[in-house]
Amino acid sequence: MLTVDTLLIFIGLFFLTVAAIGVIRLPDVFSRSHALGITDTLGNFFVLTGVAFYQGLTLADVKIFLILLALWHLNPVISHATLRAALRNGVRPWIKEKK
Amino acid sequence: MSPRTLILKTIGLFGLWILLSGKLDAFHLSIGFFGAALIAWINTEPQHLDEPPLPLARLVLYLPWLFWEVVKSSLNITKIILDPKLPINPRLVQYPTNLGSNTAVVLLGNSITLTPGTVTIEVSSSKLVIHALDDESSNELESRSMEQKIAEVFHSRGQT
Repeated sequence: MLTVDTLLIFIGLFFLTVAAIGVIRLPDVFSRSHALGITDTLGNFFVLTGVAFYQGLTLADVKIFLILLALWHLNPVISHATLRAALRNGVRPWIKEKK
Repeated sequence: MSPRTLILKTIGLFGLWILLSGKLDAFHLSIGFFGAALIAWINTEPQHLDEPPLPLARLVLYLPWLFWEVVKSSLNITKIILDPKLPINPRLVQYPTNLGSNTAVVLLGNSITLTPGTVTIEVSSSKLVIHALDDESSNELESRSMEQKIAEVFHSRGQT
């Protein structure tokens, strides 16, 4: 039976899958980080809200919210640090060749 | 550090402890209280930030707007990834900003990175270097709507 929690988790899994496909399809480290941006935000958000609904109204919801808050603060910092390190070490971004 | 901030820190950490442990008996409460007080006491370094206090109320109003932006651009990136032609046009964008305060620039950089399609690569107090994945993301960036919103958060209405 399709309930709210399973629906939310499946929507989250869809976005996580899209992000994984994006990491494979996109050409370089800079553009791949954009695909990871989807996991950061929508993927984790839907999966964790789904888990919260599955749990019911308990103290675990507060912890899930704190996890979400931590992820939303940490993920941008991680992408930024990775890409800055790449750029400073001479990795040039992939650019579409003009035809 | 003044005793007032010490007490406030202790109360905040103790509240977090109660939320995380979920146990209300004397043993766990006393351990939590002493732990919170110890951590608050160890962290007595004065803050070295020369920044005005955060306008918390307006910051909270900014967050739903940011969330909606994130959802919109996430869907855009999802569409691009699933498109067989992969219509991307990555570029580096130089983004000068005159927000002034460091806190505001940090919030801007973090918001830009949180929004899929744009990632802040280099940041200084007056300029950001941003990698944008496709035309729509860079157009969104060039419209500077995000910077305007943050300027509204950090300045009173008369100034902006």
